[in-house]
Amino acid sequence: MNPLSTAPSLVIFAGWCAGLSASSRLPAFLAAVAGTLVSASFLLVGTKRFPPGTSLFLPLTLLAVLLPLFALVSRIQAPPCSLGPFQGDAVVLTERSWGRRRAVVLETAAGKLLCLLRPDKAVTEGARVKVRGRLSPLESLFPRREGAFDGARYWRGRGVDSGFESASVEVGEDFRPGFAAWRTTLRKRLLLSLPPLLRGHLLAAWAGEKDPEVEVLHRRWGTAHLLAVSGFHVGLLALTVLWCLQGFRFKLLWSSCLLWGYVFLTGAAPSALRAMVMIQLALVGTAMAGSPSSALNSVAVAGTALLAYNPWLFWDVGWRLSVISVLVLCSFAGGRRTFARGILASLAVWLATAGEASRVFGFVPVAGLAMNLIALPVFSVLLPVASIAALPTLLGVPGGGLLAVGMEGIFETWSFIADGISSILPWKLAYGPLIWVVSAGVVGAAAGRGLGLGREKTVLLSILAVLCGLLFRQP
Amino acid sequence: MDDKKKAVLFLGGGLLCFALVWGIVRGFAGRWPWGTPTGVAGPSWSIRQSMRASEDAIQLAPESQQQAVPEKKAPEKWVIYLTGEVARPGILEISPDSRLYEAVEKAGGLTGKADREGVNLAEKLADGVHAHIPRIGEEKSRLRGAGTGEELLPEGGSRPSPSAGIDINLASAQELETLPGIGPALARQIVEDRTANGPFKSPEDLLRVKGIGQAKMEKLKGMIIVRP
Repeated sequence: MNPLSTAPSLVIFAGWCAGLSASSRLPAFLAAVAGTLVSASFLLVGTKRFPPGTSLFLPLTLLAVLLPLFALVSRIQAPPCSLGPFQGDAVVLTERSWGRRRAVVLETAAGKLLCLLRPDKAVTEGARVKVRGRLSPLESLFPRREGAFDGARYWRGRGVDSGFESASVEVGEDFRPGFAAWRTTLRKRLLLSLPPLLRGHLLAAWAGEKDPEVEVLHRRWGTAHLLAVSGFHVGLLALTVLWCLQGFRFKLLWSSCLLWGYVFLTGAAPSALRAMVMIQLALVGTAMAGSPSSALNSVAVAGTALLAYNPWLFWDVGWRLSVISVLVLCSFAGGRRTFARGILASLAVWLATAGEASRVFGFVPVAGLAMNLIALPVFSVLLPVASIAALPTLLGVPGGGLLAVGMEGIFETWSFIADGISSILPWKLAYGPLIWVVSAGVVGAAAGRGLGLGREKTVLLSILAVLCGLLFRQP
Repeated sequence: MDDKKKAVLFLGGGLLCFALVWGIVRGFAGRWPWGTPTGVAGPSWSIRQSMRASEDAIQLAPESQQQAVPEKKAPEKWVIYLTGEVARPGILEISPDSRLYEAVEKAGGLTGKADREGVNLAEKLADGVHAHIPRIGEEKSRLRGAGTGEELLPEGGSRPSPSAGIDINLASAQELETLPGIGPALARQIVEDRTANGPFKSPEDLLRVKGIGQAKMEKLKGMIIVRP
């Protein structure tokens, strides 16, 4: 076994990630060289021997790292060019709170623009508006500080092209039909007809919007990831859709359309896009070859494809946590499914994501370790049941409110249980080099295990991952 | 070559590749003389490009908008003189708006003899200053303005105290009134002038304020600070 024969995309993906990590410190060509060398290192450390006739693949793979990586880093480092005054029609794609302001993404003839408005000037998603203001680089809206959250990268990861300053937004009366407008309608319905806990969970699962009160609860329990649309949600829906479409003609087409529709309705979060690309690969693989491709290779293909589409996704915490989690889970794919194995997988995911999660949020609750073991199976039942229970109320069926109230009671019971478990494990792990090193080591070990490299090579890969983690660690 | 030798060779090659990556990242980070990322893990969008872009935008903007954005030119780089207990003391080029710790980092970090508590590493720098990192037992850190030897920033504070001189680009009208010969009307005119025409680049720029002549400017020169 060697990485090139088991998951060649993982070699490319590792190099791209390393190169992008280096892009804030090095010029494009050096960052590309550094990324390529990390790929080469990963490949050579993980290989005992190349099967005859495959030696040509090594330089080809390294070229596949070097050239696109140079292009990606150059793209990141290139200054934006569309600057100057702008006036015209626009559609509000996203509207959300941003500190003391509202962040609004506008789709215009000059691209996707971000403006920060006063709360009283807020607009609704999907609305047609007339705008007037000045285009500016996103970096001027979010001056960057070392170690601090980088707003410019966050919004670039969501496809925004430029900032829009001194913006005056004149709200029109009509909406453009589309995902943004449908999301607004759905959000209104959910907010006006459902009780708090049910509404908060369905807002997250259906509209990709986090209710602040529900988010506080999940942060405390260490299960905040359940409120971000990710592989968990897309996977649940995929299972449901595939089960419902059994025996249908064009099942692949219908299921793909429905699932992509769901991803866009929830705002196409990077973690949801990653999951959807993976599921699409699995669906196509099953339809064409009779079995899905290697899980580890699929993660890497999905990650690489998304980075090629939008390299700023690399700095999105949701995308990172999603990729890390699924990469670790893939290493546990196959073999007998036992309870002990499930616990080990959960522990490995928690350890692998603890470094990045604590870097961003300052700490990770230890309770999350136990909570995720219980919360994932519980929510895989609760969310579909809650969605069905809320439908009568949302559709205005008389007496439907009773179901919603019953569901609210179930969520309250869950809150009580979760609070109890959290109080048993009240500790928090703060961000530091140790937690970062452990996470990097677990990711390396998971990659080695997933590639089937054997114990010795897996340990070496884990050490290499730790060294990479130390080299590219962000403060 | 047998499989065992090949495996050792691959492992050696892998480690060599990683050593090269380490060397590249550690060796070149923030020290590349051209290209965009020249700061310490700084933004890829450079100040120069940002300023040029803003100027372009201002030129294209309607007149009403141009009035709202005062013209402002910042130097592309600041040059400072760093002495004392750092690995590589001397003249340094740093990014504008840097703080002392960034300059120290660029100079290779503090030496073992540096008085870490006698220096405020978070202190804001300015173009042309002389910063000194004291040795343990030496008097505390000094940060002096270019040429004049005047104290530029007080220790532990970002705004200069009157004894160190008043920064005419930062001071409020009330603070300006504490200067000799500056009354409320003149103080207001100084503030209005810097708002309309951009910051003062030298004490001589005060001459553009109506009511300040050569004699008054010369008198004020030793009591004021001009930071970009």
